Amino acid sequence: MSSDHTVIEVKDLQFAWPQQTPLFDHFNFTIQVNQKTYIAGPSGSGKSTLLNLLAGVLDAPHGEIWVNGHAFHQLSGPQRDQIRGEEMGFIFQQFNLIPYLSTLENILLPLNLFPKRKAAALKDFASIKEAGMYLMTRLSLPFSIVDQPSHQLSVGQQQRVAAARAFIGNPQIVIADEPCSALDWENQSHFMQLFLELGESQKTNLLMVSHDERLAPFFNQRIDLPKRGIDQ
Amino acid sequence: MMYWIKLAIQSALSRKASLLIIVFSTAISVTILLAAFKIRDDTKTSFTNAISGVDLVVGNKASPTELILHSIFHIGRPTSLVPGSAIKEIESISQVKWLVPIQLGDSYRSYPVIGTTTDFFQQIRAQNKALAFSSGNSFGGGNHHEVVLGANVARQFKHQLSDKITLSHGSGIGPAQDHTDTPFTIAGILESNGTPIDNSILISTQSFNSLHDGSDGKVLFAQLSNSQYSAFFLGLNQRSAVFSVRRQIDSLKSPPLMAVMPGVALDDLWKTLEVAENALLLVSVGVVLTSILGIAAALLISLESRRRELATLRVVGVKPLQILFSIILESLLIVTAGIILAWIFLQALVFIFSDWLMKEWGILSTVGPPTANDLIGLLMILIAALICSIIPGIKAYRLALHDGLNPPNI
Repeated sequence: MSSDHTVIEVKDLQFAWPQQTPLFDHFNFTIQVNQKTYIAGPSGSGKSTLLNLLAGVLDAPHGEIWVNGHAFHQLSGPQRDQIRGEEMGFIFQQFNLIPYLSTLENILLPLNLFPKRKAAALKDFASIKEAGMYLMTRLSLPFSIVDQPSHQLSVGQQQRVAAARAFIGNPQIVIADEPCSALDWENQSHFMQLFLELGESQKTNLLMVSHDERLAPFFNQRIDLPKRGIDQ
Repeated sequence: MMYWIKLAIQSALSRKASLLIIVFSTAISVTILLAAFKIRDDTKTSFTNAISGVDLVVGNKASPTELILHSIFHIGRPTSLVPGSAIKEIESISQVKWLVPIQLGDSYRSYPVIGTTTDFFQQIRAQNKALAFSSGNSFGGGNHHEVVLGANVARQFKHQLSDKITLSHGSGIGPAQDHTDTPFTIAGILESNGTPIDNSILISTQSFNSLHDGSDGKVLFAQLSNSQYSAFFLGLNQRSAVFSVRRQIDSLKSPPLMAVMPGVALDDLWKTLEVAENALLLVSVGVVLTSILGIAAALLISLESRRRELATLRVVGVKPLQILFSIILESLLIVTAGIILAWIFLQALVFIFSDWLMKEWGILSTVGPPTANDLIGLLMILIAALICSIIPGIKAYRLALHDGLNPPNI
């Protein structure tokens, strides 16, 4: 059972894709409250699989996964989906936004799907639109793109819109998967700065997966995944 | 729920070109089905309301269908004629309020001539409406040789009031059978009413008899002697007496007569046309089903290019079952849009072609709200769409489970 100060706890995790060598063999790690965690690993080390397990999209066949006090290993898929929607935010490198929704509609998507998250946003703002606009300001997104279809935005803008969507409604955990590898270094550091500032101001637990070592210093905990499987 | 509907609409609108084609093809196929329903219903209504206000049709004992076909639709020939003496017998029945005699057998350029009385214009209703004159009025009583034309006859031959026409005996084929020495003057033209009356020429029974019994100076044909009738239309004091009066007429011995309730007989007659009706509906249903399967196929094909969109929805916590639901919802919305468009198309078609339908086919068709049959048909279409959309829905569900947070780069 995870303690009150634990946000994510992975215990004795074993996972292998069919007819493949195990990706995780008795894998353990813990992320405490207010830690900013950097998960590093080369291609094929199981970063995406780990994210799918932490998000509750994949079921852990052996071992325990505790997320924000919820025993993911004991919950059904739909129950994990519900927790992911209510308590977690995600930013990905390649796909993030629903192409037919506008910038603001993409940001407000979790609030419109999960009443609990909407209620959290409405604690601090008069309307969900105001909450979305606030995050746009924090992430240096111009209001002129509010109604613009997301596919018309630049890559950098899309990443920041995805960040706004991840942070809206104060989720306890935000997980980013190589969120800025498509950007040049200047924009990457700018994005990282905004990402970390937002995490700190909202007291969100941040977890980022990347293979770019230059980003590691932004975080105060590091978990390394070896090329095949994990030995920690 | 409202948010899911909004999402489904936005998703569909994001593929405008294909959406437009799908909605349009659905609308056309649903229009075909609705038009089939409407033509069937309106034809049936026009058929069964070909004559109204008549409680019983009386003729010589024969087949009720033959009597109805001959006396109302002027199709076929009567097996025998009813002597005029029958009128007294029938009028002696206390429940009989009025009697209108019908004489058939002559024609004008292949349109049937009806010998009757002026009561015909007061008592007989067509499509549940009283007969009305577009110009002129009823023929005069007695031997005036005046004629009233049905709307189609007047239109077909561009006749106007006071024009003189010559009637023919029988079907009117061959000049030797024309009543050339007895021209008739057009006294009135009836408004179109979508019944066989539109295609009729009405004259008085006296005029009709005079053509055949020589009272105008010549005996042309002996087949119809004075005061012989093809049928009688009866109105009763109370409709509830219809069975009693029918029994009384059926029991008459001299002459032996038969009374038929026109509503029942017309309904029986309509049932014989059910095969054609069902064939029409079957083809229409096939067209609609093909269209709905087209929607399912289009959604199925589009799913490959939507895997990132599905993965993004999964990222924000959407469950695979909700994704399945959203695909079904999208399909239902497309079909609903098609149905609404189809309804507008149908109303426009009815508005444009109602006059033509009335003039050419005698079908009274009006713009109006959907009938119970329409609503059942539309509900069946939605259910079919629901069932068909489960196929792409399940595919989306499987993709959502399989891809998780790692959709392929498309």
